[in-house]
Amino acid sequence: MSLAKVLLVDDEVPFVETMVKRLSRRDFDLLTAYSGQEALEVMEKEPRVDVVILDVKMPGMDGIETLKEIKYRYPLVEVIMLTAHATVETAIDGMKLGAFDYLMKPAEMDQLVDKVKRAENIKRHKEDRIAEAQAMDIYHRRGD
Amino acid sequence: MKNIPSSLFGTTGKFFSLILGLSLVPVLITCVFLYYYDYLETKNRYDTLAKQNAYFQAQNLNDLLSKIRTDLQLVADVAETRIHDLEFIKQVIGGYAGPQVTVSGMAVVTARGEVFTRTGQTPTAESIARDMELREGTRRKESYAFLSRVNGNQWNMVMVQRMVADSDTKFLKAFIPIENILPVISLPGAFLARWSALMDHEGQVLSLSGTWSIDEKLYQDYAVQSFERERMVQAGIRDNGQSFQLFMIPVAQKLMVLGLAFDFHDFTTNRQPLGKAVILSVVGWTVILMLVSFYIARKGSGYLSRREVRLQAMNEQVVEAGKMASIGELASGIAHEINNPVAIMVEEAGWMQDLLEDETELAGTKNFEELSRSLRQIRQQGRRCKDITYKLLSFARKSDSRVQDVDLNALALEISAISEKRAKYAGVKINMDLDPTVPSIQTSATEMQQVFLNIVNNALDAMEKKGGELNISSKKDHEGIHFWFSDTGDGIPKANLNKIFDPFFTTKPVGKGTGLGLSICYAIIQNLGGKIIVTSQPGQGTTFHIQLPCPQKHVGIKTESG
Repeated sequence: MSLAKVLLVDDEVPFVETMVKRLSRRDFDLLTAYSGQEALEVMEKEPRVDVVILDVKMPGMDGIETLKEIKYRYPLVEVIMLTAHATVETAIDGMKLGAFDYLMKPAEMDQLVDKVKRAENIKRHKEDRIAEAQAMDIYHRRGD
Repeated sequence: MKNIPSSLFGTTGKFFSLILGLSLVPVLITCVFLYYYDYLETKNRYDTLAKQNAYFQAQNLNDLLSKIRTDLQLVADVAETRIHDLEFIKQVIGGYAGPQVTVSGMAVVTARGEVFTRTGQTPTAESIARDMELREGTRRKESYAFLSRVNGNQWNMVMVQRMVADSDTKFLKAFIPIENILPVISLPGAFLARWSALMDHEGQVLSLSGTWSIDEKLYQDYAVQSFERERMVQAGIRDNGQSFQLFMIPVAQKLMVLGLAFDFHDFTTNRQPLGKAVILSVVGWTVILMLVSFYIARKGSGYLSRREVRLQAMNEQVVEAGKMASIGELASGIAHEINNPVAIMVEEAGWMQDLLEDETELAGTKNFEELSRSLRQIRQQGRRCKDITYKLLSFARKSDSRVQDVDLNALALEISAISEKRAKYAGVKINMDLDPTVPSIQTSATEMQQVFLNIVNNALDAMEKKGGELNISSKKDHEGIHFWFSDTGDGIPKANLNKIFDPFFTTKPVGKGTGLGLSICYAIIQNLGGKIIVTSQPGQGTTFHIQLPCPQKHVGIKTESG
């Protein structure tokens, strides 16, 4: 099984850099973006992203808008919201919009890893189900 | 739209005229009262004066007649001395001039009714002889008077004096026309009667002075009554819209009746009681109103100053709320700004720890241990920073503002269960006395939990050294829902009592408390429209009294979570 592809989106450069190092150590394939717009561009180039860790408050396109766009374009990609301030409501809104979970900054690494892993599993599970359905579909068509 | 101001104005106008009208009511009542009082007073005085006047006139008349009688007695006595000297007698009786009243004539009549001699305007000898009454007198011993029509149907009063000379009895008769009598009676002083009349025993008018304005029939009965009873008869009579006071007084020894009528209107003409009443009541009420408004102004200023004090207190609350809001904003800003660098620091420390795990040859050395400890400490302190900012955030806003039905009693039980272990270590016994009628309220469960937990934790902190009791009780009454948390701890010094809700105020050692707990509680309860009241006796304990408004009629359960 290939490594889970994780896209980390945050405007805080040092935070992203450290997180990339730490998560890479824990067997994730890391991609980074420093804004919502950049995140979408990255995903354009690399569609096989499994989980996006998304900061809520960013200049320009904020986390919620980015989330909507990601969920619209790539419904199977799971998103974990990360918030550093009083936007817990925003995070909850995000979950209503389809985010997998949210975490408060600074987050416990173990917690984060756990959540990313679960998100990845769910994504894989969904993909499997779709593949299964497609296979059944093909099977039935053949049977016609 | 244009109609609205005009109708408003109309209403205001009506309102003011109503107020004006209402304020005139007491003035009018007083006016009527004063007028009526004046009327009664006047009437009373009028009655008294009229009565006095009537008596006085009757007295006058009687006095006059008795004077004439005395005079005639003297004339008779003088004439008697030389009864046969006809010339002398003529001179004597002819020379008499009555006091005030003119005697029209006198005659000396024999016992048989023959005219002995006469002077002035007297009936002729023939008419005297013909008239039984004029001849009368023989059988009477004393002098007397009677009424008779003589000299062309003119009413005369005839006064008779007996003269006895030798064996011969004669009578001196003086003729006084009734017309001459009335004008003589007058009253010195107050006022005159509207009319006065002399009447005979049947009420027939003999003489009248003044003008009639009433029906003859009305007084005739009174005259007869008075004559028969021999005493004064008084009556109030209304005729032609005028009030008269009528007096009938018998005079001249059962000979005549003197009738007098006094007009009330004459008496009151110059009094102008209405004007007086109006002026009196207006002046009176003005004085009363001034006194009342003076009193009200004094009272009102007291009320206003009390109101001002209340307003000031409210202002202080508003300022307090504003302070809280700005602190909230600041806190949220700080939280935002701090959490990101703290996150980086924690992650960097985490990274260093990750890296340190790779350095297998260093493992077990003293420096390795020290580095690990140091990194753990950084991460731990980072978490503390997170806790502080988290609290700051929940102070500024709500961590979980989902509104739901919260059973406060159940929440209190939950909190006491959570704190039980701590309480046991602190040697604190938690007593619950909850009112089952306390309703659920619409609020955030987490927030209420935070409030209760904070207060319970503070109570436990206060009793940590010596142990004690924590009593949690609830009650519902007309004022709302009440929760009391009473501990038996050290209490709060008076100087700190009004600071405990200030953000960052804490008496706990550095690192133990953030000083935000109670200010968060305060903000939460205030947001719910309730209040927290703290009473504390240093050395005896502290009571936190939370008062919350009762929920409005149940609106149904709100489900916010999608």
